[in-house]
Amino acid sequence: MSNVPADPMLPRPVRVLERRREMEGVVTLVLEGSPQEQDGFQPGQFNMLYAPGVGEVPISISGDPAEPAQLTHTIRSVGQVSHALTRLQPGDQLGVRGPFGTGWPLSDAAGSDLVVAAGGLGLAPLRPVLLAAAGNRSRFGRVVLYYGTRSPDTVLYSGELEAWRAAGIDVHVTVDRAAPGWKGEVGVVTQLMRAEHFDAGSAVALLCGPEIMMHFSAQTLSGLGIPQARIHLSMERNMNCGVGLCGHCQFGPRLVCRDGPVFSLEQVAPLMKIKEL
Amino acid sequence: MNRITPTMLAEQSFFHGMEEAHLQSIADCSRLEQYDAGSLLLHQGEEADAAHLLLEGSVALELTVPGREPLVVETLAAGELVGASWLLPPARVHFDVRARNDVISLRIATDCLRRAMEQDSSLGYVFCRRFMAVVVRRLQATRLRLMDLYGHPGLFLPEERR
Repeated sequence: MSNVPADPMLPRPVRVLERRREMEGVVTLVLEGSPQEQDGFQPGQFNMLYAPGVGEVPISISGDPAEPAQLTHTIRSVGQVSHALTRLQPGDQLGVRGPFGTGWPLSDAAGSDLVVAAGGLGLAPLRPVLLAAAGNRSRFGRVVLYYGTRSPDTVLYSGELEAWRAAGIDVHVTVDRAAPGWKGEVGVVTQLMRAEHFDAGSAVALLCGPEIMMHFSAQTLSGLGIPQARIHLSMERNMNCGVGLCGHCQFGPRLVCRDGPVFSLEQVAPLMKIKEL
Repeated sequence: MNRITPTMLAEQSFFHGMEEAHLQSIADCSRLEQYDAGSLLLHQGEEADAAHLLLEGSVALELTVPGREPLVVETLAAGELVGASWLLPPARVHFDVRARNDVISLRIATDCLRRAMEQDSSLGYVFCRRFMAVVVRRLQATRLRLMDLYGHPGLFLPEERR
């Protein structure tokens, strides 16, 4: 193997090992990583995925950090590039650059309660956290997942929730609109959050989802006593280069691809109030 | 069931910080009730003569429409006050309130409470302020649900970048 560092702007060719349909328009691709993947990734980081001849988009890594050789990405088809990616089949080739960005501050949470709040597809960048916590449960105090989504048929990773519960994660799921047969909670995700679920004095909270969901979740968790410095959010902006050169993902004085996507609420709360950002 | 005391009420966050005299008036209108999973605490369409403060368990607010399975509008857990229709006429229950699991609730007879609030306007003011906080919180939660909170966050991106 060459000792020359990989060019971060050069996609590595990888093949699709497995394709799982999660729900309408949402697919999880498991990719056969190149040797570079052995270096691993931090939960919360993202890759730039290149659909040959179509384009490139940033997608969070949603796989198990204990298995870095396999790259896992959950992708929603919302545009040309993501649509092309969701149509890939096992054996097809695509390009990968990354991993880029900052990860969730899991080392800060070691020994403390870990509060994970996800909305919709925002569960994908938090899946590596949950897998890491499930695989090394004694590393944390209580681990609680608050997950809100639109309807029962949009519950992501529905087949894994029981395994996470069995691993000692306190899993709470709610939907905005129930359907016949749904036995779970109905209401917004913030209604799940209760002071008795965690020790606010030491808990670390990780939030991912649409910004409006993170705004209200952060407000609720802050109201329950978790300081802004220990509430972390994954921001989404228009990442292009992934390495802080192009400036497309500028978020106030920060670049999301380089300085984020994970920020503390303390860092971004003032920026989230500015409409133009 | 046991007699309700002001001390018992004061342990519930809804009543935190209320004056002893006010708590006594509410306690005089209250009793503990148990409901098995699946049973109804309140019936849609009936006279709204009670509110329930959930002490254990959780409930589902269901809307019954002929020819369809009941539609769950919202679920509420321990600590929540259930039953908002009693305060204003025509005082009819709007939803079935069904126990999702075994429930223990503090049932407040609202005729009794309304009389106490009319006799002691300070109790009426204090209770209505807290009651309004519950209503506002539910209204905000409903607005959030109307916003489609979990819609795709990146729709502001240009088409070619999605």
